[in-house]
Amino acid sequence: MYRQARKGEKMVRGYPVHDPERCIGCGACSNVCPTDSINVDRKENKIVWIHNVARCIRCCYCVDNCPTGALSVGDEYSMIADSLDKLFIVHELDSARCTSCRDYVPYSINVISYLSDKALKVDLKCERCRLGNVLKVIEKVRKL
Amino acid sequence: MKILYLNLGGCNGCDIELLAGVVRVVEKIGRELPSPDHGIRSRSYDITIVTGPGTLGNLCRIVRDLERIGGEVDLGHVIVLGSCACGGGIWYDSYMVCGGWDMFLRELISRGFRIRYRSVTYVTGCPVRPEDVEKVLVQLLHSYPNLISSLT
Repeated sequence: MYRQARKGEKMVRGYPVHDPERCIGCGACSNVCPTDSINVDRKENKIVWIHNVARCIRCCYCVDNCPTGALSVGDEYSMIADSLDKLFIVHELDSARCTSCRDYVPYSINVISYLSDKALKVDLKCERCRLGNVLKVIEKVRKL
Repeated sequence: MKILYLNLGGCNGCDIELLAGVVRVVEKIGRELPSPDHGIRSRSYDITIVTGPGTLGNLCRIVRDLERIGGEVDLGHVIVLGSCACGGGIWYDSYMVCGGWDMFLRELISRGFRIRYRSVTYVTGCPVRPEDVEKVLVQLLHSYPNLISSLT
């Protein structure tokens, strides 16, 4: 963001624009938001990204901290409405599935392409499967 | 035309932008706007402009004003300026703040005051832009021509 501002590309720092096709649903934006205007709700089979523009102060910390570049500084600063319900931006993302047990993991399906782009050979597994492997190893050690 | 201007504990950022916006409105409609009341002194207003997150100190002030005029007020068209007044801003969970105009109004209504208003417009931004203030005010004045005709 600051690099963009220094180049003079963006004269107005608008509210962040969210790209649901690149978001992996990690929740870094909601953790770093000083006003808690961004919320990432993890439902059973989907991840809901909610932005309350009424409370947003356009600091764009979320843009700085987004690991995938799904968030970008928008050109539009102002949003005028006659009710607070119209000031919410809601995007629904489908959850990815565990490679071994086909259960849902708390990331969206974009995480698969994100990992392959980074050339990381990580198997996407749910918490139970990962812990299961660890428990098997511990049992083996105990038997020895 | 009577204007009520409520600063409910804001940082004066929105207020400075409001001044810049009002100058543009005066240039556009060609008439001067009347100077606003800073507290509730009358029973009915045409336009109410709200800034700030709604601190409890200001709640006491507004409650005192409302008790003085009999507990009933018509705010007319309410314009809520800034992210503080819209949803609390960075003070949304502070211990001395109601958290925006809606919560402030709820606090007043729960104390038994009868508050009426015709419409609410939320203008977001931290601070708001003078262009937005101009747009909202000019739109309001054009959609209700009797407001302009009451100006001298």
